[in-house]
Amino acid sequence: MADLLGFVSAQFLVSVLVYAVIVHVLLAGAGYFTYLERKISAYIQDRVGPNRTGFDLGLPFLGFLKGLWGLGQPLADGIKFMLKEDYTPGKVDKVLFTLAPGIVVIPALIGFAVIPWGGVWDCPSFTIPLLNLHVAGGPVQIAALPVNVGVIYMVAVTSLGVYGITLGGWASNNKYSFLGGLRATAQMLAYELPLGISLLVVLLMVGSLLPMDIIRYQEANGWLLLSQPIAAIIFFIAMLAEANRVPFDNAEAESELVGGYHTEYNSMRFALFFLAEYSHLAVSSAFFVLLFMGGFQLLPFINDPLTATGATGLLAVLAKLGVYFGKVLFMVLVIMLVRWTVPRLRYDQVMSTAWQGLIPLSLVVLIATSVAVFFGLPQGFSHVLLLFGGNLVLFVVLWYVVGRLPAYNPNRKIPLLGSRFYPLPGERVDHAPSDPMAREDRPYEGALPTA
Amino acid sequence: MLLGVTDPVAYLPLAVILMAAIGFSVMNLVLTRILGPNRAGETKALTYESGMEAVGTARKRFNVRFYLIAMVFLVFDVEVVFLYPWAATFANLEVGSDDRLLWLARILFFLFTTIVAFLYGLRKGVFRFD
Amino acid sequence: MPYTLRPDQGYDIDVESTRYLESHPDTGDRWTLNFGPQHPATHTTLRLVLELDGERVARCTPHIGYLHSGFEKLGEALDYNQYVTIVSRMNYLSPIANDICWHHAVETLFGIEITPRCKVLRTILAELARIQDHLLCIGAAALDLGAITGFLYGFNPREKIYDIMDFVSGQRYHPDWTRVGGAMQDLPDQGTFQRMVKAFCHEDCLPAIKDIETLVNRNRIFMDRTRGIGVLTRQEAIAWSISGPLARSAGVARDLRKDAPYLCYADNWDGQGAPAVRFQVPVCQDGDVYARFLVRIEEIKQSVRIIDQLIDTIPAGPLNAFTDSKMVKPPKGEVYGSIEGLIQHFELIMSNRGWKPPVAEAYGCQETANGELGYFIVSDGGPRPWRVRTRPPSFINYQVMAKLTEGHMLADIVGILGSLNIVAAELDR
Repeated sequence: MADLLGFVSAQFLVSVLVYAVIVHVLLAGAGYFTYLERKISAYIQDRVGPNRTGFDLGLPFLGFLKGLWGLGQPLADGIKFMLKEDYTPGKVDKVLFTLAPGIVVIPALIGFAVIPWGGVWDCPSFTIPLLNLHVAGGPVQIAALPVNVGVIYMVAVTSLGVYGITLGGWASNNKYSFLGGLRATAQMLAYELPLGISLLVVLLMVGSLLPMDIIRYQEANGWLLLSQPIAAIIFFIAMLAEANRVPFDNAEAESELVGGYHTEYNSMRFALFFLAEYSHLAVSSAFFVLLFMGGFQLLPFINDPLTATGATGLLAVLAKLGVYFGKVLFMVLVIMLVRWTVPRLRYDQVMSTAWQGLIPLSLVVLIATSVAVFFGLPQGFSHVLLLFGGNLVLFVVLWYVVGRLPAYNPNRKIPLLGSRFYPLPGERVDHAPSDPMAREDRPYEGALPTA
Repeated sequence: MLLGVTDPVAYLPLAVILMAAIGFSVMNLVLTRILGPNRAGETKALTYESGMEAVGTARKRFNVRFYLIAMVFLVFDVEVVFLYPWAATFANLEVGSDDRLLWLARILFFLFTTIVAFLYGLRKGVFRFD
Repeated sequence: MPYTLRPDQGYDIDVESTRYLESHPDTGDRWTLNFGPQHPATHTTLRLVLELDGERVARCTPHIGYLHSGFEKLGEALDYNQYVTIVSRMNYLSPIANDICWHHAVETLFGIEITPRCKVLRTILAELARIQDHLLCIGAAALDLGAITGFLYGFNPREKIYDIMDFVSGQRYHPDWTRVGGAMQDLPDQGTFQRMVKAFCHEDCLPAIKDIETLVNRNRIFMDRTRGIGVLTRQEAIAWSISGPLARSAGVARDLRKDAPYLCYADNWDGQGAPAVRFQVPVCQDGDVYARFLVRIEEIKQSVRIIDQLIDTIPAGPLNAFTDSKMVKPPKGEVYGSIEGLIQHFELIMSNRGWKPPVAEAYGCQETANGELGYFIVSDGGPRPWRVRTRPPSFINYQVMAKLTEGHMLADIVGILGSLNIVAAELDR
């Protein structure tokens, strides 16, 4: 028996435990992010937001759970989604239509695996009673998947979610859905690059792919948000775009594409899209916190005994979890504030922002950083000062240069074949009425087209 | 310290994670099918197109200049993938060593070709999306 | 259920023929897309049939009639007072402006001069209606581009206007307040009315405008999305007989309040040499969506200015013009106290009597929020109009939709449509 379970190590058990905990936090969190979003939007917009639904479920003896600031709203929404009719419209590709929400939710639920939520825990040795399995103790990572590919795993997995969106949009056989799916794909492709390059900037400085190393580096040299602000901003913008958040929510732009890729979806399948979106939000925020905000470290440059990487006690692990979750929540709040403040970019503006703005900018930052790393960077506080100053200089220079580049107006009209008011140059515009009766009334020059 | 190992056993939790995630999505899809009502209807089955009968199908050729976007993405993304191993090791080389200079020069040349390709695309109008 | 008139012959697929493409090599990647009538961005039931080349709109064909309710035909069956309930349902964003304009046209036909008090009240309420309409429109400009917050900033003060309407007429949404020669009732309490209007203007409306301006006016995304979109030149605006903020944003300095003054916009409105209210007409040269947005915001500020000039000096005196022309319902005091009043009341109220207008035609128009709203009334001398024709600004302005849209992208359509501020009930009548 012990041979069969030979793979069971303390790290394995802790990993599974961590996953089980985090995935529940994430799923509940996704529900409560919708609540949070509605509350935040309500406060921004001078409304009240959900404030009635408690946990009484309509039962008289649970009356004391009524109200509760509307905290029962996500649960009620979930129950409603579950009990709605799971309808498949007529002309869709049934298999893909059903699979797409499943596909979209899986990457969202496994993407956070490499995040070291609680740092390292010095696990004591213990024996599992019934199996009589002795598990050797030692330092274990509070992460679901402590592997050496590290952050590469996150980049790989989180971008898989767009498959579900594209498939769902295509399978719906609906033009709005299809457009939404296409937009999502193109946007994901475009923003994968600035995301990857600004991640490269971090890896270049840290010199490792391991999440723990990134945190340790930031513990020594200050958060990378301070020393690489341009890369951090690029990463944040790309993250918004990857998560389909305003101002990049073109894939589900409700004023243009009705619902975008999920126009034809209903019941739990629709909810899965939303679940994936909000989970993705949390995972991206966690990624950002890992890369630029020092992971579980409470404050930069202050090595308090609880959240330092060296602390391995149970209390330290809990404190780190708390700090990490707090930072993720903060990032989610920032993203929500952005959502309720700015309008949406147009599809071509989204793409131009990536290809003509963020990608060249991130390449410049990458080259500058690689040269800086070549000459060696000082340690500690001067590290931050030097790099922040460098970023500032870079920013000013780029501001000056970009301001002198020829401006390009994306809002102009493009003449198109068959247009009545902006036809191609030299094209004859056919103003003939299409109705035969109208043609009799109003004969026009030229031969009548044969029907 | 066990902080990421090459040992394939370290990837075992991934199996558990994957199973849990797939289980969750399948469970949801099945449960909602079972729990919800089910009524069919001819009009209900219509494709939504703002309340009108859909004109044609959505399974049609569509011009979003998608081909170019995909091609350019492929080129650049592969380049970025090449950079990851470099980035992970570059900082660990000894400062001032010849290796370090060589690695920097190589990667700067690589990035230079990337930038030339980018500028070429820019001149060709690949990055205009209207 | 899709919109269909002949269920036995299948669904109504009256998409405009695309025969014009047959003379060209078909690239095969054109899409025909129904945009509306059941679409979140077509604020009511508008329908655009779009031909898309990628995300570009190659051809845009507006279809109207989805909210046709026979409003004009109803005008032939209702008398001059009753019809006000119908006109206020035309542009339901600013209902009282329709009421005032309708009775302006009727009074033009009847030749009635209303009292100064009535003029002031109508002016104030008409300006409130303008604010009401513009607040929704500038809010929707943000909403259509994805910023819902701006929309709600615009909507909150509108509630206060509804409260004022409720106070004045007893009905929140459709006040139906005006009557031939005056109004249904005088203000229940003038002090309260003044307080409510002043509070609205300075504590709700202007701060909300400031909020919206702070939120989107210099927002880079908003400007990128609206500047240069849907450009209408001055010549085009005149050629297509565009009116209202749409024309003024294109450089046409036309405002009926200045060009054909009525109510308190005219000099000597009280018969004792009172000057016309002072205000400026904002004009923009760009003619794009952003210019329309700015013009509307400035018009709100000017409306507040007009209200400020009038609200403290509402003249006393009767509200209804009680003339010998037998056209105006007498006040209740006259009905109960004098035989002339009783007879006049009787003449107008009894179903076999009613108004005896001249056999004539009259056109009365006013500058409402969307442009020139006019009513052309043909009277055959009976108690009801023989024919009523509305000149709805939405209908005239909607003509340019295809012109503004073609060549732009799909996402720009919502911005352009929002900036035209089309109200389908008025469009289809």
